[in-house]
Amino acid sequence: MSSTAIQVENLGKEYRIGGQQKSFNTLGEQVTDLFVSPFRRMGKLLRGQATGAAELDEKFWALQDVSFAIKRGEAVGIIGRNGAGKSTLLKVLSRITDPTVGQAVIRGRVGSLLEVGTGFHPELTGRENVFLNGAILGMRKAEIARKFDEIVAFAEIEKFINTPVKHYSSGMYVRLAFSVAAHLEPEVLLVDEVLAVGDLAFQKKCLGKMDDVTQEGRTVLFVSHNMALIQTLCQRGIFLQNGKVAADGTVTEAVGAYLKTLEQVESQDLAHRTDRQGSGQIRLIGIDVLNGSGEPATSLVTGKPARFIFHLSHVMSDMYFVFVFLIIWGSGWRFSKVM
Amino acid sequence: MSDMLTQEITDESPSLVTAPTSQQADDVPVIHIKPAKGWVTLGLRELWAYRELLYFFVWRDIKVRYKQTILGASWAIIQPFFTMIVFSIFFGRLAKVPSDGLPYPIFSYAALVPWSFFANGVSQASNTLVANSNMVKKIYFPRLAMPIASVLAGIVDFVLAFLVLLGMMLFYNVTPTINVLWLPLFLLLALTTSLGVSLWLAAMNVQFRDVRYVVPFIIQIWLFITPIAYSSTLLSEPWHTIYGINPMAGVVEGFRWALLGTATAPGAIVAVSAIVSLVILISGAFYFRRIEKTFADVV
Repeated sequence: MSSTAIQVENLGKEYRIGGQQKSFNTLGEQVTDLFVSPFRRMGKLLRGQATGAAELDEKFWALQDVSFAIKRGEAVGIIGRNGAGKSTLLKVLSRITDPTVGQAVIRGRVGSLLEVGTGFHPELTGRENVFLNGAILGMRKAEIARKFDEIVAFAEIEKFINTPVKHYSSGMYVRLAFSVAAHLEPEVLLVDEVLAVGDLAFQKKCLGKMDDVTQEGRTVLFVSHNMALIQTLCQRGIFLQNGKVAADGTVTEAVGAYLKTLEQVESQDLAHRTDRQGSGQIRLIGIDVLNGSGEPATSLVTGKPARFIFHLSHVMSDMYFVFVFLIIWGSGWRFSKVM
Repeated sequence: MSDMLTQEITDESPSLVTAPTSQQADDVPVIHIKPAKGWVTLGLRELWAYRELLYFFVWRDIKVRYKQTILGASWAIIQPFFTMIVFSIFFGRLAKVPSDGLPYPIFSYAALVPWSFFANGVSQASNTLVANSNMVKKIYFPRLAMPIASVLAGIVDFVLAFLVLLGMMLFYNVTPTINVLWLPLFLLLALTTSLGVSLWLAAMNVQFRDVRYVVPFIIQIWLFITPIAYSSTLLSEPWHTIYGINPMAGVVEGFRWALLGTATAPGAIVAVSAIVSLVILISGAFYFRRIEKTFADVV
């Protein structure tokens, strides 16, 4: 038996923006478009915006020429900016939507978790929803029954399990939904941006569970914008840019390549901002963040050196001041302190 | 608590690590993902593999259908029963429509029971994909399961309305003959017709939301072209047989014959209806399968 779990070859997915894909709500709109679009297309030709019929329909390749192979038991992080094609890739691999070209072969039962709580019905109780949602995610009834207590205990909603979920708080709702999904046991798991939900304590639990999943030898594809998480959960990373594989290697390499592309983002000019507080006796007018090799950076890689340079003005020679520098985790659940 | 939980998980993990190796090689399904080209199959094998999900969809539809209503499941009875009363007053009493020698109320109610099953099935099932668009966009499962479950869930309503029909038969002293054994077949015909029409409409509804406005209209017209308020015996041959092109005509005549013992066996009209119904069902299923690849992108 092959040790490859996912084999993707030249996969491409094209969306048409100008034509079919535009969501027509009524037949009337479609008929109108039928009459209007020839004129619009002609206008484009005349204005020289398009040179041939192929360019008339605005087409957009969400994925283009994507190829990679993932070994059994590998945990792979898929990273990239919004619209890079990460979610489209997972949708194609989950068979929700068809690729336009290319092919993929997956060996093993696939479980995909693109959203927490899809298929929950507000009128049904927590218990009923666990079974319904489990079935929707591809679990057998017997399997759900066996794990039922574990699912409820993980979500910490034992008391409310027989209450319709429409009476749940949003926290309880996502906890239960996540808990059902987290107890999926397919050979191949595809996860899109739902690594953690709920309050801080529960988020930690979610991440612990996700960590267990990767330790259990299952093949997992994670899509996330949280680089630190991707780096803890995955060994390998694939960086997508404009629908193409821009980097494929160890997670550190992929994250590094991704962060490098983000470094062109402009920084704010502190010196000229007027919405500032304080007496103005000393002013912070700029912060430079440099990576280990002294180049300006907007994002940093864990485990690599970094340099922070603070520019101050109005500093008087007889002044005493305390300088405090805090690094706070984006989601707020962990921070480190540097003095 | 969480300690106990991690304990449980680690207890399980060794088996998970060792399981997916060579000994399990034959169990591992291989999924090929390719662009769809040419003709499609109905994917009935896969639908069978997902039968538990189908069961859960049916169960959900039944559970949810009358939640937060005061009258609950009695709606399943009220709908055909009140239509019967209105029909009896206007068509039976005032217009004196002939009813094959039967009391008019039972004559029309025996037709309204399968009709309601059909009509409710179509109006519910044609909207399933749009109503569950979030699921269509985020989860993979055989899409056929949704309209099928929606139509099947209507059987509960049918049974309730049917019990009232039995009560009325007692009241009017109508004894069913041996023909009643054919009844399941006529119910099946109503089911295939309802499902066939639903598959066409549900798939079209994804792209054209006009369907939502068309469905009540279709059902209203269809009610009057089906021999519910009147008898198909008003027509002479060959028109009577041709009438079977409306599959619900065959269903309704079949119900009356099987339960109330109307004069002649509706063989020809039912045969025509069965053929038309199957054509609608099979073409509908292929149409649905053909365009289901685009559902997630369009809905």
